[in-house]
This record gives sequence, C-alpha cells and structure tokens, in this order.
Amino acid sequence: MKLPPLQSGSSPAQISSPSQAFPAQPAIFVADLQLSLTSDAGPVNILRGIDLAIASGETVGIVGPSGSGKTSLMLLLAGLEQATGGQVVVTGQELTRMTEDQLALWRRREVGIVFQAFHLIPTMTAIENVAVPLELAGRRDAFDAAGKALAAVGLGHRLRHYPSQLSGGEQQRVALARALVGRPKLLLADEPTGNLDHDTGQKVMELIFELSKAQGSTLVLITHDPDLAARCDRILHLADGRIASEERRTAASARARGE
Amino acid sequence: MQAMTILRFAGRDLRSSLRGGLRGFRIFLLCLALGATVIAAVGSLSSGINAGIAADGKAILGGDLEFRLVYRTTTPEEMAALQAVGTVSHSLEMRAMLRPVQQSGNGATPTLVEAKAVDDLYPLYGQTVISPPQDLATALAKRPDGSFGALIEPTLQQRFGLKPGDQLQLGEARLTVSGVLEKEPDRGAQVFGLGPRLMIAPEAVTASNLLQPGSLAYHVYRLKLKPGIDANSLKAQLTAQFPSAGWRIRGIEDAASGMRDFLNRTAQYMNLVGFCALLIGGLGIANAVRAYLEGKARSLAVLKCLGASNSQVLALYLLLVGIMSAAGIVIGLALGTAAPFLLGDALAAFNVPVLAAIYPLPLAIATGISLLTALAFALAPLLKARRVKPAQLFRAGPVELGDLARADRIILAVVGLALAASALLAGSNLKLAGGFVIGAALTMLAFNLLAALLKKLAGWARGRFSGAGRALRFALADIARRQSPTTSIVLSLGLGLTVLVVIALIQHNMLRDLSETVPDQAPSFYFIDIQPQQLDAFDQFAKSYPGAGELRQVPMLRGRISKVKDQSADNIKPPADIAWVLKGDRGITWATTAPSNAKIVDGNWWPADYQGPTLVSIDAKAAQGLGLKIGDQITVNVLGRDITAKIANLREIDWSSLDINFVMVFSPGILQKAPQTYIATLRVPPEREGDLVGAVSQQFPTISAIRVKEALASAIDILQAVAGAIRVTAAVTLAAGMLVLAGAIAAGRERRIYEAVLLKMLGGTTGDVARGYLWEYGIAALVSAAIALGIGSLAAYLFLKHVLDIGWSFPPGLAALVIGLSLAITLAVGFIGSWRALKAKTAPYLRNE
Repeated sequence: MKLPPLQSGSSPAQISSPSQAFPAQPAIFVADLQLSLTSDAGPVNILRGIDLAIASGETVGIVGPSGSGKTSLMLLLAGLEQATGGQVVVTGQELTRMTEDQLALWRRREVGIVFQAFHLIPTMTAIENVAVPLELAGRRDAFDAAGKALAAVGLGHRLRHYPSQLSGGEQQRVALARALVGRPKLLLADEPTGNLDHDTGQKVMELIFELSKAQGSTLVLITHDPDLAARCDRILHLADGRIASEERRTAASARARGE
Repeated sequence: MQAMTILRFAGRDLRSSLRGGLRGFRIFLLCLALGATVIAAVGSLSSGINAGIAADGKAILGGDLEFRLVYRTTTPEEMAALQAVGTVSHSLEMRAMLRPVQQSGNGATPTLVEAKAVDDLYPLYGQTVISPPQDLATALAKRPDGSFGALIEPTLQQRFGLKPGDQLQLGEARLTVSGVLEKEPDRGAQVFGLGPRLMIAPEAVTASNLLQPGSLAYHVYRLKLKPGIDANSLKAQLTAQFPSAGWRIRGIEDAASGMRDFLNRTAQYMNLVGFCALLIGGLGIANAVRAYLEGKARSLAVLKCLGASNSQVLALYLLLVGIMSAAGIVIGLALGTAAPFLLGDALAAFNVPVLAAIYPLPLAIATGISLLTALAFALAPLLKARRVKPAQLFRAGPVELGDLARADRIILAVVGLALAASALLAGSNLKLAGGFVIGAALTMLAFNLLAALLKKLAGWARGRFSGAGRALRFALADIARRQSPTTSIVLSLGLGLTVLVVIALIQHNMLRDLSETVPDQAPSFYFIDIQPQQLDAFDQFAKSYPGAGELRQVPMLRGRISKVKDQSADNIKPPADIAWVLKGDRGITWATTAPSNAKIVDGNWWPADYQGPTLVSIDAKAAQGLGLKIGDQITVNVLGRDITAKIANLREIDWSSLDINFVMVFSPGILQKAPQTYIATLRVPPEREGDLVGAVSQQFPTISAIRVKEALASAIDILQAVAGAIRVTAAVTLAAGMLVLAGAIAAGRERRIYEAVLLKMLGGTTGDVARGYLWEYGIAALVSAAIALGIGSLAAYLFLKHVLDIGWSFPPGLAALVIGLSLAITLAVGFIGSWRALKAKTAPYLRNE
C-alpha cells in the first residue's frame, strides 16, 4: 500500500500554525525532521521530513512496517539521537540546540521511556532501578517514591528482586514504574509488549494507559498491534521515513470500533 | 578424523579471532610474554655470567691454582714444590694510607687504598689494560728520580684529580702515577674492597717500610701449571705434603666463588619476582580466556546441540590456548635470549664477565614454567566452557558457561601442584622457593577472600547508605555485581603492589640497618697495623685529639681454623650461615679478662693470671654450627703453626654493634709471643673525622685508618645496586598488574557501555557516570593498596625477622606512595578503559534488535 504523503488528516499548513489546531502550546512540535545515519554501504535516510504536532495529554500510536523509522522518531523525541535536519520542540525545549548533558537534565525532568527489551540495570534491584531517575534529580525521597510507584504497578512485594529474578511482565512493569516515577510530561513507549505474551501484554498496556492518563502525561506509543494503536487518540502511519497517513480517533469511530 | 575436525574448527576460530585484531588475546599475549621474558632473561643472564666466570676462570683466579698466605712468604721448601710443577707469580696485598703530594710538598688528606704489589710474571693469565697504553713492567718500574711507578684505579684518579706524572706518598716511598688501571684481570676475585686499588712493584713496598712484623699483608702465589698436571690432585698432594702451611689453596672452580654466590643469590631473588610477574600475568590469562569463552558461549552451546562432545570442546579451545601461549612464549624467549647480549657490556663495567650466547636450559625452564602457568590459569574457564548447558539456548537471557564438576577441581589441583613443583625445581634454594610457593598461594587466597569480602560489604553498604549520594551507590552496586572487575583489580594490582611493598620494606630495613641505627654507638674509625711499640704513643695521640674518645686497642692475629675436634676443617660442611668461619683466615685475639662487650652464655672466663694450656672463648652461634661444646678442642693455624685450644666458654656476639669482636678469643700464652699488631677503634665527632686521618697518617705512617662511614657507604652502594636490579623486576610485576587491570576493565566494556547508556537515557549526565566510576575505581584502588600494605608488611616482617634477622621499621612515606600509585594506576587505566562508555552514543544500544 503506497499512499501519497499526508493524503489524509492534517496538512503541513495546519501543523506549522499549531495554534489553529491546538489551543495550548503542543507537547511535541516537529518540523521537517530529517535523520540519516551512515552505514557500511553509505548514508541511509531514515527519516525524510516529518512534520508533527502532538497536544499535551494526547495519546498517539505510531505504526508502520519494520525500518519505517518508528524507533528513530521516538529516540529523536527523547533527545537520544541527533537530528540531521529540522526542528524538534518537546515540552517547550528545542532539542536540536541542546548539548548531551542538557538533554540528560531535561530528560530526567520531563520524559519517561519504556522499551520492548525492558532495559533494566541488571546490577540493581527493582526499587533501585525505579529510584535511579529520582536519585539523579537529587530527590531525597527517591526510595519512598520508587516504592509507591512499584506498588502502583502491582509489584509492592517484589522491591528487592533483581531483574533476573523477575518474569518478563514483571520486568516491564518495573520499567513502567521507572518511566513514570518522575511524573514526566511525556511518556514514550517502544513496542512495550513486544517481548510479552498476549495476556501479560494486555495487563501492561492497561497500566500504561491508566497511569499516563492519571498523571496527565502525553503518551507516544510505538506498536505493531493495531488493537493497541486503536486505543490511542490518534494513529500515525509511518512508511519509508515519512508520515504516510494519520487517523484521528473520534468518539464516533471509537464507538464504531467498540461495536 | 577427530583430530582433523578439531584442527579445522580451531583454524576457523583462530581466523575470526585474528580478524578481530586479537582484541581479547592481546592482554593474554602480553602477560605471558612479560613473565616468560623475565624468567628467560634472568636465567640466560645468570647462565651467561656462570659461563663467563668459567671461561675466564684462570684469568679471574690469576692462575691454575692460587695459594694465599697471611703474614708470611713461602718457605724455600714450599716454593721449591711450587716451582717444580709450573711457573709461580708472587704478589702482595695489603691496606695502606696513600697521600697525594702537591706542588708545595704538603700532602692532601690521605686515603685508604688496597695496595697490590706484583712481580714481573703478573698476570699469568689475562691482560691488564692501562691508559695511556703502556707495558705493565714499564709502568711500575723505578724512575730516575728515585720514585716508583704506580697504577691507580679510576675512582682514585677522580678523587684526587690525578694525572700521569703526579706524585704520591706511600709510607716512606715516593710514587709517580704512570697511568690508570682500567682492567685488572683478577679483580673479580675480590668483589668488596675497602678502598680503591693501587698497583705497584714489590720494591716500592720495601721502600715504603710499611711491612712490619705482624702487619696484615697477604702473600699470594699463583701457579701456572706445566702441561699434564692436574690441579685438583696437586692441590690434594700439596695439602698433604705441607699440612701446617696454613695456606688457602683455591682452584679455578673456586675463583670468583664469592661473586658467583652473590650474583646467583641476586638472580634467585629476581627469579622470584619474575615468578610474581608470571603469576599476576596468569590472572590476566584467566580473565582473557574467560572473557573470550563467555563471548563464545552461545556458539559453544550451538556446537553441543549439533553433537559436539565435552572433550571435543575442551580439545578445541585447549588447542587455541596452546597456540596463543606458544606465540606469547616465543616473544618472551626471544627477548630473554637477548639479555646476555644486551646487558653484557653493562655488567663488564662491574668486572662481571658475561659470555653472550644462547643458553638452552634456562630457555627450556622458562618455556616449561610459562606453559604450565598459562595452562593452570586458562584451565578453569576452559573446563567450565566444556560444561556449557545447551538448554540455555531455548530460554531468554544470556548463555553462561557451565559449572566445575568434582573431576574438574581435581584436574585444576593437579596442574596447580605441578606449577608449584616447577617453581620449587627452578629455584636452587629449596627453602626460599618453598617459602615463596606457600607465601604466593596464601597471598592469592587472602586476596580472593578479601575481594569477596569487599563485594559482600559493598552489597551490604549500598542498602544502608541509600542517602549517601547516588554516584557512591551506583559504584557499590557495580562492585557487588557477580562479575564485577573489582576482584580482578584487587587481585592483579594488589599482588603487584604487594611485591613492591615487600621489596621496598626489605630494602629500607637493610639500608637502615646499615646506615641509621649503627652509627649511634659504632666507632668512627678502625685502625689496623698498630705495632706493639706504637701502642702508648697512639694512646697518647688519641687522648690528646680533640673530641676523640672510647679508644679500644686489641691485639690481632690472623689464623685459619685447621681442625674442629679431630676432624680436618677441609672435610667439614657447615651450615651456610656460618660457612664463613671456616673460609679463609679469621682475625683472632688473646685476652686476660673478658672483653667489656662480651656476653658469656655458657662456661666461664679464665682467671686473669691463667698460665695453663691454651683455652679459647668462641662465638656461640659458630660453635653450634660446628657442633662444638665446652671442653671440645679446636685447632687454629697461625703463621704456619697449629695451635690447639680447649673451649672454655661460649659468647653471644652482636656483630651489628660494629665493635671489635672476634669469633675466637684465646687465653694468653702462646699467642702472646707471636708477632702481632693491634687493632683499635676510636670515636670522634663527625666534623673532625677528616682531619684525624691526616693527623694519624702524619704521625703514624704505617697505621691504616678505615673510616666506618666510608666502609658502610660502599656496602650501601652494593646493596643499592642489587636493590635496583630487583626493583626493575618488581616494576615488571606492577606492569603485569596494570595489564591485567586493563584487561579486566576492557572485558566489562560492553556491559559498562550498556549501563552508561541506560543511565543517560534516564537523565544521567556524563558527569554522573564519571563520578560513579571515580568511586568504583577509587574504592578498588584503596582496598588494593590497603591489602597490599598489610600482606606486604607481614611478608617483609617475617623475612626480615626470620631470614635476615634484622630489625623492623616502616618508612612513613611508603603507605602514601603505595596508595598514590594504586589510585593513579587504577584511575588512569580505569578511565582510559571506560572512555568509550562515557562517550557512548545512546541510540544504537536502545533500538530493538
């Protein structure tokens, strides 16, 4: 399926003047975002001009085939990758102009990330893993807050366990607690259920939606699962480094889907 | 077919390792090459020295046989017997005061020299080297102005700024410097002299009038045998023919025996330090092999799924380790072989002959020990690798190596014992090597236990100090981790530092023993060759000299122990530490009353008016070594006459007091009448020492003054040179420790990068990550230094107390030095090794596979 870019949904004009579409400043504003990486075979254009605006508190699903640039987009939004060109403004910060350490300081305040591979620090217990972002931010109550965050994901009884002593679902819940413990404005999730069985994945997703909504965080979810994407306010289809199409989930369509 | 399969597999593996630039194996190669180099170099060099001594034996001895007499020349019968079998060269050796004569006629401060008068036949073997070049006979000949030609050692020339033509005063003789004695072929036979060499003709000695009855002078006769005469049987024959000649006969194999013993002992200590380097390198080998096999664990599991047996897996990687070891050992052997060629000239400057050649035996020993070391340390991970569980492939998570079975532990123990045995066989001193093996094993064990304890403590502390700063807690978490490099850091660096501490402490205490503690109560001067008729005058002189005090004058004769009980001294093999009592001539004395510093531990002193058969008081330690007790008889040859005495009492002697002490003190009587001189000690304030030499030499030209400070300084110089050589090898152990450290940190690099990336992802700055490393490496460095100081001090204390029998003190700067060195090395190596982690780009590690 080859669709001309931006065939449906928002047009570039709409995005470049976000105030028309969104009353408040958007949580994420991306304009003409380019990313090319050098490989052995020469430069590879991963992202070829992404324009995007996401409102604060919005939940957005990003879908697309492997290699379409989903993860790269997420890394750029987290300030973990340097854009080759374009603009990335997240929670009011222009990420492309910040140094690595400035980005780290910003990230610890504003962003939580959940990965498919969990990425817990293997030498630390569950509670220590969750406390890390708060410790980095110099919070004195890091461990109290971490304990509460783990209780919130149903792991109040597994505080002193190491990642290797936890099941996949438990590890991902620790990762989720770690991502949310700092009450970030933006939660990024990259295939969070990819390494989990269906039922466990369902439970983790429930928590992700529930907790991010309760905290009022903006959620960007990368997934292969159309059902999961459908639960988001908006779905972006990525293909070949561009936004191929976009769906907005209205109340009507939700009803239609829920039939 | 099995073997071919394994070879083919090994070839593939080697190819892929080589393509990766041998990354993991570089440390392996370096560690093994370093250890093999030290063992091969020390072995080759000492073989080269032994061969050099053997080859130059005749020149070093100065003849086929040497006969050394104290006080007297040969009798006509003795000389006839010598001349019947070959050519005889006579030389005379004595100590004397030499004074440069300046233009004004006034002399500068005199100095003690080791004078040697040689006849026309000298040297029978070898060549003297004189600058400016000239014939020896011409150089020593009497000059038209009545002075005698003299050759001086370079140090003497430098001290007085002498040049050919300058004049010197020796007793009553006037000498003229003919040139500098660059090489004296038989100099090596006397390693330690109290003063520089002065070579003159016998006529000059006569003219000096220094040779008085009882003057301490050695007459040395060197014999160049006629063809067909066997030196050993001649030695036996002459000993039998002249039983009471009292001469010391030495053959070529005895030549330089002192130097050889000394150098061999030095080589032995260097070898032990080399072993330390190899052991520390072994840790590097173990780490490298483990890291390599852990990286291969998945492939190994796949191989086993495909039907490879445990023994095939073991054979495959044993072969690979063997190939790598061979490469490392070849590098080490090549460097070690070069040692006699590279260092020969440097040692020749110290009169140590080195025959540069390739010596197969030490190379074979180095190969064997290095291979065993490589095997011993590589075996544990290899045995674990063959027990990798293929089932792991079907589960999530990393594939890990298997666990050791009981049979594996037995194999490891056997190889470990073989390595210990090889260390014992390679060391010529079994007791020392045994102590080393046990010490090394205990030290390794202690370090392992302490490193494990550190991990436990870190694990405990991280929970307790959650508020203590995140960087510290991250570091503690990392130290407590199962495969943290902390154990490797503490072991490798700690062992290297331990060797450093041991050597530094032994060196410090030996030097302190020589230079610091002694002079407080020691005399400033020894005076020798005081004639009995000079006693009163010398006493007057000492009393009137400002600041001088504590004059002690004691008669002294030289004698050789010829019989112990009824047994000839030649047939006695005493314990090594008292062998010197029987070797050569000893100073002996007589006394009516016990010396003031005597501490009698058994028996009684004879009455002051004792007139009966000769009695002797003997050193308790020597008596014990020779199996003597009160009432036993001992025979001493003095001036060709055997004097037998009954042991009356045993004394304990504290040689370190530097007081006048004699192993044997006889009752008055027969010795009282023998020609003899007196020896005296005197204390003067340090600032007056220089003047005293001039004043004594002015008034008593025949009395030689030995300045204790200078004698100690030359002993300290020798000790420093030996310590320097051992320190070089100690530096090698530290280098090995650094390599292992670098390897251990490199081995954890992927994990380290991953954790740094995660921290950055969670909002950590580069500074946060760096602070964590600072704590982690800092704690490891401090712990290593602390353990090294503890264990090193204990080992040095035991060695000083029980082997060297000297006191103990801890130099204040050492702890700071060790801690500083440990921190500097660990932080430098650690941060260089962690640079990639600090600078790592996050994105590539966070993408889903």
